[in-house]
Amino acid sequence: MLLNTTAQRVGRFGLLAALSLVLGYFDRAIPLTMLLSGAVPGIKLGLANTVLLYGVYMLDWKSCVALMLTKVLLSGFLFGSLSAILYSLAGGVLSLTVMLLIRRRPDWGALAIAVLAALSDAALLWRNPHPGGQLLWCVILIALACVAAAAVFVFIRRNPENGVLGTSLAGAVAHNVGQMLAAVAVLHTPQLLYTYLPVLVGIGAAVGALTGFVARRVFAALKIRTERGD
Amino acid sequence: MRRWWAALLLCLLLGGCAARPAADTADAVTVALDGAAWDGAPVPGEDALRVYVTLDGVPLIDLPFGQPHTVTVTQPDGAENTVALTGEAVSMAHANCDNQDCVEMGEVTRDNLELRVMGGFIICLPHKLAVEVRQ
Repeated sequence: MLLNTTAQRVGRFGLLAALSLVLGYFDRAIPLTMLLSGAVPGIKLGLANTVLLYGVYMLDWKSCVALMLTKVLLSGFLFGSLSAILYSLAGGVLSLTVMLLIRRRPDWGALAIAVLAALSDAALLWRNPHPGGQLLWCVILIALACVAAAAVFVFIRRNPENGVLGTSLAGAVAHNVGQMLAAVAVLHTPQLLYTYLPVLVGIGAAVGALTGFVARRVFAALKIRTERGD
Repeated sequence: MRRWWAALLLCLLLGGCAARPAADTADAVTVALDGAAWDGAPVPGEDALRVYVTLDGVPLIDLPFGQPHTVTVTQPDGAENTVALTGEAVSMAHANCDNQDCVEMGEVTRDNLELRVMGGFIICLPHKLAVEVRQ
């Protein structure tokens, strides 16, 4: 599916930007923050990332950057505030960079995320060897995410068409890390890095696996091959 | 083409600068303790745990954990946060920010300090306000 005329490319770009805005609105509407009674603020499903995943495999990197900037700026001005743009921009830039770098070797991405999730779980348990309440649920969730990432690694090794799963995982975790770094830079509270970052990495892996499966189904329906080499 | 990218980058930089308030806004911030303007005097009371309120990384006020108090922080742009200390728990009672994450974060008690995901923190990201309970 090669689109070469300018009109086709402009049309497709507009369609993708609109789709990512609508999905971003759904992200806001789904109250994932209510998970664990508000204990984990600022998390969302990241459905809008499926559009960027399509871009990473089907467009050149410049169009991807333009798509990401359009999405961040428009959704910031429409639904958010100027400070919200700053955080999503930090997340978006880091996530897109990681996805563009990892798209040819998504299995490495999945493996790295599995290791990172295991490390974050270990960090949480090290901080509190007898977790209870919110922390216990987070430890369980991150352990599940670690298993999911390891499973994705095996899936990709068996069938390269599952590559988008690994890219999605790496992108979601990078997005969370980028936002976290921006927040820490604004608040000047580096202590948050060792209390909250492990949780965000684990939840990013869990959410990234979910959106990865969505993107995988979309790619299968559109007959997009992720192992294409060019 | 390259010029457009440079222009876009510049716009983003300017936007980023606009999103940040001036560095010395901490002077224009008013802190009210129990409904009256706070004069800056240390809040009396001894407790192993203390509550630290910081704005944009600048310490505003710190209080002993175990006494009932209400702290209201008002910023020049109208941003307002009310931190409630009941003696057993600390929580963000009210905030006029757009996402209300800080209010929904719940309370910090002596028992859940180690079990909360955020540890002893309650954070209002849009207002750059951090409340931390620590020793």
